[in-house]
Amino acid sequence: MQESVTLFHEKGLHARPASVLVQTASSYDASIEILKDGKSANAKSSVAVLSLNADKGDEITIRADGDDDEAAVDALVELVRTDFDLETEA
Amino acid sequence: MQTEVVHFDAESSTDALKSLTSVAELNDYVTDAYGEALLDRESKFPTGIYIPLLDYSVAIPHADADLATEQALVVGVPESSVPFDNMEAPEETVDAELVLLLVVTDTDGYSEFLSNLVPLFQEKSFYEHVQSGDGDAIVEKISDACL
Repeated sequence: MQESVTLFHEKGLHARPASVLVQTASSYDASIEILKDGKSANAKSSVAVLSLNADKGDEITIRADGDDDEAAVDALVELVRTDFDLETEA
Repeated sequence: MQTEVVHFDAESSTDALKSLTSVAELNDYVTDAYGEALLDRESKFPTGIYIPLLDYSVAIPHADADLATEQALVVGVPESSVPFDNMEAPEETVDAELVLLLVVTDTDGYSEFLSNLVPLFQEKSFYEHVQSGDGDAIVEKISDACL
C-alpha cells in the first residue's frame, strides 16, 4: 500500500513536521517508509526522516506494509495535505 | 554562519536553553523575545533525538526565524547529560549529551542543513568529540558537513 503526495510546507520536512509525522507513524503497527528520490526512510525514526532532505515542492511516497497499512498511509497523506496540523510556520 | 561553543552545567532542558540563549543574546544573534519563544517551542515540539546506532542523544532546539537577527549555531556541551523531551515520543525523555541551538534567520536550505547535520550524529568520530566535550572539533565537523 502506497501513495504519493507533494510537500507544500514552507520549510519542507524539518524538525516540527518530521516530529508530527514520526509520532503519527509510530501509532500504527505497520512498517512505514517515506521514499524520496530513490532514498527510503523509516517513518518512525526522526533521524531517518530528517536525513531525507525533503523540501517544499518535493514529492514523497508513503509506503506501508502490515495489518493497518491502509489506515496508516491515509493518515500520513492527510497529515501532509493539512500541513502537519501546524498553525504557523517559522 | 556564526558559531559559538558553550560549556554549561544544567539539570533541566529549560536551564540548558537559557544558558545557550544568553550566549546568543550576548552576541546579538537573537532578539529579546527569542528566549521565551524557544522555551515555548521546545515544550510544544520537543527536539531531543535518540541516536540508536551509538546509544546517545542530542537536542536541536530552535525558535522562529523572525526572532533571530543573525544566522548562528550555538554548540552546547553540557558537563553531564541533560534530560530533553523526545521528539519521537514527547512523554519520554532522552539524556542529551549535546545541545545544538540552531539560530535560523533564513529558512531556505534549512531542510538540506538538517539532512546533512542529522547523519553526522551517527558517525562514531563525531560522537567521540561529543564524549570528550571537544566543542571546537564538533563545530569543525558540522562546518565541513553542513555550512
